[in-house]
Amino acid sequence: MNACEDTVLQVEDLRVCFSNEQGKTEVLRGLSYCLQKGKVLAVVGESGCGKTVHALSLLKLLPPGGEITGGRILYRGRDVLSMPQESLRKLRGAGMSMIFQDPMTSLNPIRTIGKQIMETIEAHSTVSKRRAQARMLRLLKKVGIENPRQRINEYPFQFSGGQRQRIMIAMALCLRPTVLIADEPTTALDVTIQAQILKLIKNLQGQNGMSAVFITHNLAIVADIADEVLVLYGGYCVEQAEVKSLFAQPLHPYTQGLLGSLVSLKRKDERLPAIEGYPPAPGTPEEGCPFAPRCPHAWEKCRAELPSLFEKDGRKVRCWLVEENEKPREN
Amino acid sequence: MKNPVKINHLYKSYPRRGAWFGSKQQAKTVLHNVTLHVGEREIVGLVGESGCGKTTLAKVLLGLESYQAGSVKINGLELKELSKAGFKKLRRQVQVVFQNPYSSLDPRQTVRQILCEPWDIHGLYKNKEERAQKLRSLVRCVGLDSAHLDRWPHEFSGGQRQRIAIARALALAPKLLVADEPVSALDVSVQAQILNLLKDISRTRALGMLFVSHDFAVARFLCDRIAVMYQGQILEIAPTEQLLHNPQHPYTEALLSAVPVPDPLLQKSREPVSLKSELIHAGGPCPYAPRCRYYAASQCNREVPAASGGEGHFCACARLPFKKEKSRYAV
Repeated sequence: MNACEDTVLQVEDLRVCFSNEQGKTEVLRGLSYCLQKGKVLAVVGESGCGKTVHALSLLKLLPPGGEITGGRILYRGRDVLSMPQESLRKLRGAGMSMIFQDPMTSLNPIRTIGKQIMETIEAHSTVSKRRAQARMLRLLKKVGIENPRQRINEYPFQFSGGQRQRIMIAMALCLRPTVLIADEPTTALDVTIQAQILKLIKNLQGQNGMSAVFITHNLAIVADIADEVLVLYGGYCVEQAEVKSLFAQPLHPYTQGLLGSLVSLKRKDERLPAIEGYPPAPGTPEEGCPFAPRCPHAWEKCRAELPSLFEKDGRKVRCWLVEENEKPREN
Repeated sequence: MKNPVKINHLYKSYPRRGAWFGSKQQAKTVLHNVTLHVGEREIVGLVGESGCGKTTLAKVLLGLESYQAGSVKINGLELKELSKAGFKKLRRQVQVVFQNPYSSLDPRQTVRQILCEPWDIHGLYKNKEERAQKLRSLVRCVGLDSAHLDRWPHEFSGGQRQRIAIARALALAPKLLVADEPVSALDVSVQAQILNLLKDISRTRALGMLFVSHDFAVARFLCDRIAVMYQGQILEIAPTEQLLHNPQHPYTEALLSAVPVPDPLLQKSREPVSLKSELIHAGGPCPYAPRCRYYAASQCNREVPAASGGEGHFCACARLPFKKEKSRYAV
């Protein structure tokens, strides 16, 4: 991998396994990417494709049973996986901070939200209490919590789901992290609030040079916020490209299907070209390409052999069809 | 009958809990003067943000919630006046598909039991052969296989479960289907399958549908008319294309502007209307006034017009004259 100077996060061949009584299942099967300063990488995929597991493993937060079995994660050149606990604690929050998917269970129910946010700021930085509080109030206002001065004394149950999600977002942003890892941060929110949050993240990206790994299944959000896109399917990266070229010309049949099956506000469709079948359950043991059972172009080779990540014009795609088409013809 | 569903001037409120030593507090109004008609074979979309009352309206229609004033008539029968037996009869004509297929199917019933229960209750078959035959055609109609019948809900993916839930709703051959966000819990590629299915069955089975959604794009694909709801009031109703091409209400405009479109070039040039503040319950006649960017005290304190239930374009705004020119936020 060629790491350039501005790389803040580099992931090489990341593999994650979950084990239970039945044995081990590999849910992330070799993921690599580079994240530059001030850029947003979107990780797209359906439920069970490994996108949340990938986010959790970036901060070594995998639940019991989960294990990183291979690969490296480099944060500004430092290896996250071999870091001692203390440096890892410092990294979480200040260096890389995370917005979790589930706002209902990610806040402490018996502490006021003000205390929880202040705790985060005080644990990591040396600013005075007054300035910390001012920063907290400003951020809460920015994520759309009205009357923050009163509301910081309230408990999580006094907020709606959407508000809790926004408090989580404020908490993740309060230390001005270098890398924001956002796991479906706006899924529970209304479009108007979603637009506000995305705008806020874009502003931070522009002003502070924050980078972000944005995990989502919503391609419209990807179009809005991402610079680069990584499409996951069945634990594999099936396509990686710069956002404009991906939307203009998706190479992998799965990406094509995904973009084709979107309902659009911009046109009236009579029927949607849906992808037949259902996404594979995590860890389904399979030969060949994970998408082959649903792929309209699959042939024997696809079912027998896993395609490699093929590079073409600066993009990567894992598909025999693309690779075969690119090969020089043998006479 | 032209309009099987006639909701006229419906009011519903919940008593506020936690009143201090019985001191009277105002009840919270959740539906305010709602008038909405659904025609035969017509799909009406109900779009709004979370907490605006759209699910409550759906529940009232299903007889799962009571109402204080106004009338809800299905095929000419006033829901409030129905006896228990009358309700049971009505259930055959009005069925529901819920949002989350993971919680709406009984985990201790096989698919066969789930689908046959409605027929057992209503005594809709003469002998076992007839039931088996009905079951086969029902299962085929939603794209499942007869081999699936003796499996349990947990053996299915989300999309398949939603097909089961749709089959259960169709078992009684209803005239009206209430669909409460039926695709919002599904993966993108599966969402398209279910939307196609809903469109097909509404045509082949001459179904009317109240389709509750927060997603304009989904509503555009499916609905003949769309009603936009805000804080328990319907602010705008129009035929789908008319509403999107020529939105009249400032709130509809704001909502439309906030929906991201899956096209990076287009999306990056769009700027969502920023709403003034968070939801604050207003005392005035217009619920949207505190957030409205066209607010003018002199005009916005007038009573807003109320919908008549007709087919045309209705907008509940006292200030703006009906605009002929296209809004810049129109689709």
